[in-house]
Amino acid sequence: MRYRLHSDRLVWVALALTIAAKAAAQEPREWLERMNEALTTRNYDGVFQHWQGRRVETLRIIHRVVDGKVTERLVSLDGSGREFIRTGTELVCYLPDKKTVLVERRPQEGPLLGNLPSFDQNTTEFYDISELRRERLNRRATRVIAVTPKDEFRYGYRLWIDEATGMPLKTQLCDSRGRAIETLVFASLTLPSAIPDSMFEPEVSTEGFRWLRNETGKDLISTPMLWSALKLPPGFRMSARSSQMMPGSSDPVEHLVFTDGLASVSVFVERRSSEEKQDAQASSPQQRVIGALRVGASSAFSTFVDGHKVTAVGEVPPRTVQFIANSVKAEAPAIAPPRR
Amino acid sequence: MNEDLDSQLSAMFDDELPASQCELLARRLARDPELKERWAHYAPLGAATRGEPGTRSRGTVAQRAGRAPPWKPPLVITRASGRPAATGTTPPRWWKPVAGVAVAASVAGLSILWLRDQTPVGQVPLAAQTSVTVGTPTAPPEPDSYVVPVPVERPIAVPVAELANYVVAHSEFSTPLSRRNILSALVASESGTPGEYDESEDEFEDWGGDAIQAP
Repeated sequence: MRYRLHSDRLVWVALALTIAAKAAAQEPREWLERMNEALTTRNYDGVFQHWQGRRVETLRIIHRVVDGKVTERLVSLDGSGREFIRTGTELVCYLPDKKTVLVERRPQEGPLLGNLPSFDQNTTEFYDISELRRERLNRRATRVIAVTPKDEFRYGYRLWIDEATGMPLKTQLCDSRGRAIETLVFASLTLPSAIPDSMFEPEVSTEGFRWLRNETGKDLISTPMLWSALKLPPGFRMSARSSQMMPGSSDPVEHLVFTDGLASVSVFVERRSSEEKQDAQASSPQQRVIGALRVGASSAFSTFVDGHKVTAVGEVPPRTVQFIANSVKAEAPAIAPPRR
Repeated sequence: MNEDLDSQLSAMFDDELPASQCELLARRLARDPELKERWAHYAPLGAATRGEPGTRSRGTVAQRAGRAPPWKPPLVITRASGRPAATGTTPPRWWKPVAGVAVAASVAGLSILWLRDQTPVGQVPLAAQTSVTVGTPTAPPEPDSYVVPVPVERPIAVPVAELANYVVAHSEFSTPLSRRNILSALVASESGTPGEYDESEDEFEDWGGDAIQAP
């Protein structure tokens, strides 16, 4: 009888420990999901510093969600004075330093802002997600969550998530050695219940500016070929495909998106003009590799494939965009000839 | 500040430091004794990490890194000639490593400057003139070399505006956090800074069965 009691107790203790361990493992992931939900569903108005290397710039972000429709304004408070304003599926980028306004329209059927990424089995296969500590930041209690990549094909994050609101008060994008590449830290943040429309008016006067529009549509077919990546870094899969007219391109550009659930890479395939093709053919295979670029912490890599310029862009290490760009090939003939 | 310097030195040894910053760092090396000591710490570590021939190590790199804090020079550093440091008895014991470090670091700094000035674009020097050896005072001298890479300029054909278009279009398909980061970087910075990574990263191993086919 006594033996049986002991045995029952042991089973209960084991069960409790298993549940506790599972809950502990779940918790950091839940914090990330709370953060994503807060970023996309809450109203907020904050001023933050954007650090990259030794450069720092102060920006303000105003974000409003009304009936699922997102309006957002991101403004540089010093430096270039650039402003990005998102209204629903349209993103307007005011670039006063370039005297240019860039308009990007996302297809309705594509992934929406409210479509939160889920941290599923695939994510945890390629990232370790752990809680480092609790820390006070700007007089707020935060959880410091580390998202550590398991290989060198992706970056990681350190996130200071506000316990009360789920908002990330500080984020660091880190390389595979844990070195911060980019840091965003809020100096002030409010979460108002309502934000007036006037807060989303641009301060930039657009007189004499060039307006460039990216149009996306299902009926646009970029090339008479179907493009795909023959090989991808572990964990990446194609998540979207679309065609869009981009400023400066005479033909629609095919846009492929690859993701591992957290990081994503876009590949743009664009038919080149005959002059560009001649240049590409005249050059040696080595020279045909156009090269690597960086925009902030985003990497880009461009190359020529079968008379097309293939450019991969993503917030991943340079080797990842290069790997993907070099893997993109014309897979099959066109479904239909290009329609113009 | 020290962390910044460590990070810069580390990046330099990993070939991740832009050429312009490399030059600045080399100039600073020539006049900053503390930085010379740090250089002396990273040089053998960098060489050992790369498995360069002639790098003599006692224990693993991690063990040595653990034993020797970055602000302290390694036990013994000999000069490029491979001769052990002076073995006179008059100077105090600490003088030997410090002098060795200073000489090695000066030569290293000057070598980088010289190489960057002299090497034509597109031509990578076979080996720099810098030699750093870690060993015991009685160990036979072995020449050791460290290749200082010179970035090769490659033609960049993606116009800045076009790249900005791509980045904006890409941001629409990112996670909320990534999107905010990407757009913040675009708002904050001049877009299209030429890439700053070394060509060794251009080589990829074949992932074979691990690679996942696109749908």
